[in-house]
Amino acid sequence: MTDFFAALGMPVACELDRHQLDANYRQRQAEWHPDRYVSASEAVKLQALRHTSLLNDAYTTLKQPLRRAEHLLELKDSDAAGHSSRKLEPAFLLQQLEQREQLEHLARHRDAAALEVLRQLVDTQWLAQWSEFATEAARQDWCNARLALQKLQFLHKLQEEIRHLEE
Amino acid sequence: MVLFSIAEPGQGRAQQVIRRKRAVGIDLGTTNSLVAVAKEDKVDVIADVHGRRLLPSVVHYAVDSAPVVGDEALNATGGTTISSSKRLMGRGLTDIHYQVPYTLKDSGDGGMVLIDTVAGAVSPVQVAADILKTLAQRAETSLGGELDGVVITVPAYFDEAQRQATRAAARIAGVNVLRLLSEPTAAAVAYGLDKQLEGILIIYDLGGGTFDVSLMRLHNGVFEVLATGGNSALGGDDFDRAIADWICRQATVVVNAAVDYRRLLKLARAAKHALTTGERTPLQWGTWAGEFSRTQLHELIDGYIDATLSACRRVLRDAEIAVGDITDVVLVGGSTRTPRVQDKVRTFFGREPLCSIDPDEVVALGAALQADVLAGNKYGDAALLLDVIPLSLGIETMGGLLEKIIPRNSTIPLVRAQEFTTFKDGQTVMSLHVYQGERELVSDCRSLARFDLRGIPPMVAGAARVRVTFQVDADGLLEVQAEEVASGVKSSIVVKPSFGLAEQDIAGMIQSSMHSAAADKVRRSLREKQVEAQRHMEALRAALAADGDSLLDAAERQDLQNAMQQLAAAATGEDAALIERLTEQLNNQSRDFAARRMDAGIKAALAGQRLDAVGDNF
Repeated sequence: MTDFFAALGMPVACELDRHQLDANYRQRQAEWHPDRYVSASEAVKLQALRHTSLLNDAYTTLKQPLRRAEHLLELKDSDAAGHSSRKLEPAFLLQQLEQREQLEHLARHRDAAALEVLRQLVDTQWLAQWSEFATEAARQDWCNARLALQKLQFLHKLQEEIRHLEE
Repeated sequence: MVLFSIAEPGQGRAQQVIRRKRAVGIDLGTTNSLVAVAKEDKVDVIADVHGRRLLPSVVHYAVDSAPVVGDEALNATGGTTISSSKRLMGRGLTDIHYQVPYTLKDSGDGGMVLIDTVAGAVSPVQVAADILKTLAQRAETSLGGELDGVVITVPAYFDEAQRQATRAAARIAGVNVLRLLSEPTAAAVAYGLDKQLEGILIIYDLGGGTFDVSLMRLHNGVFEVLATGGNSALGGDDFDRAIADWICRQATVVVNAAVDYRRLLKLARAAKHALTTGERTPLQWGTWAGEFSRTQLHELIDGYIDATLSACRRVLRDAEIAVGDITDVVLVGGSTRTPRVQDKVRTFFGREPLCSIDPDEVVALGAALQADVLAGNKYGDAALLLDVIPLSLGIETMGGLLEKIIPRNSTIPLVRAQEFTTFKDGQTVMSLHVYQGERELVSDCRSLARFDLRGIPPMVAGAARVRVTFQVDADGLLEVQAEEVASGVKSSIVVKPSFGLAEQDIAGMIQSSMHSAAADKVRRSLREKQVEAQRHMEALRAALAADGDSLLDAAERQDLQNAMQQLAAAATGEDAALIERLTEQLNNQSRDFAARRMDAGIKAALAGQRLDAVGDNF
């Protein structure tokens, strides 16, 4: 497992300084991009391509909170299999079910105003869940962090579907 | 031409001169193509010997004579004239849903479409190669030697097949490609470096046949493409066709003959141009005469412009950027001269678009700047361009579904792997079919390549682990590799799109381009003599202006002037031998003057004065 945080010179953490991330990415790209090695040997060119590819992967991953969280757990949680078998609480699943039904209903009736209300609600839930994840990650309680991440994955999917509908 | 410099006293040997690499940027456009070069402190389009900057992307093929390119092709008769063939690059016959003024035919093996000409069927790649060759010659004549490398621009929206076709054209033309660069990125480079822009830029590029929109972030010399979109079959040509069809309706005529339709399109284009400044313009076709107004023009073209704005909206969404975040809007492509386009863009983005650099030239200028960097003429503060792939790349899985391995708008270069497994017990071969596109079903996407991974050790279904690796380089070209992880059995392919050309086709075209090389050589030699003559006259003129009064008497000066006039007259003609003789003659006559200048220069240098002016051996 490649440590994307290390690849971009960032501390391994849930929250990160976006300006620092952007700057570090650009600085490393400027150094490694294949355009800098146009007249170099094939081996060096391939190395440049591989490394910039890694930088691109790392940047894409760290930019998005959900993927960053997933990556953080991949690095830190040594008992991933054990922890992911834990079940989500029924209340959360029920709420998900209801919100999905609501979304389908809104889609059929093309109710833009109600869709906007739902979007705001889900966004708020996301933020709350995110801060829970951050707290658990800071305490290094990977078992609870993974639970929070699973909820974030559910919410993220819902957000994407809402955005898709808005278009 | 011997270039000698005079060292400052005490400095010892003259400084060693390193030859600047001859690297140019080529904008291979649908309607016009051009070539530009970056010099020490400026970048400019290279004109031909007649001073023309744009080369119409038109090639005339005739029986028993070499293809003619550009303005000469527009006026040529007795053969087949091909224009706008960029739209056919990397396309099969079934992809072409619009009318073209020449006959297309299937290549027979499901490959790229062919164009019927009196000189036989021609591939769009061949047409592109002929245009590239003309531009390369123009640049070589101007720069005085063979090119070290070129940057060729392609629409950001070009898919694998189209990029590969462009690469193939360059190979046939015999030019060394440093990089394929997307057109909007090139435009951003030209503006970014010129105006020191920072922030988020949207590049709105409406050309003759394509529309491209790119969203970029500029920061400290790094140009990062955030998202790109567009339509590879939408452009100013559509405006012309809409106007032409309108004329037909008004005149209640049907125009079938290719010659007449071309004439009608010319009329339509002229009407469109007239309305760039005027409110209305008179029109006449056959016996019909009428008037064409801006209102009518808007009715005809608004749909097309709105389609471009929808594409802009999509790109903003992909990058999660709001209209308000945009710091500048850059207009590229000749069709952005249409006032209606500018109005709608201004309204949509809520800001005055930038169009201070000629929209026809901006792409070539940016490409030239990047060519200069890639050739190694520039170090340190060189701009860095981070491009994206325009369409998702993936592989066909069970049920004809596309499994995306690299999503669109991913920054390149990129290497990404995914594991697949076998479907049947004891399966030893896995067939991999690579597609490009956004739809779920592969039948709605473009097939790029197909290859087999053989020799998988027999196992129960689902036990084999086949790792498929997609590698996209900085040009956006794809290489796919498959490997069975346990056994290490490997297979790989550099994607040759189904709509590309077979290797032997390319070899054949390179071969045939050798045959026409003889005729090219004669033309080229004439150009070189013309340029050589111009260069001598330039140098002599400068020398006369500097030292003519002090080193020559009136009669000597008059002799030189006369010789120069004779040569100038000959240089506009086609007689290479005459030009050569007169150049030689001027050389001899001015030798004495040159010697006197040398003496004066050495005296001045010995006297301790720095001499920046460099002698010339005319």
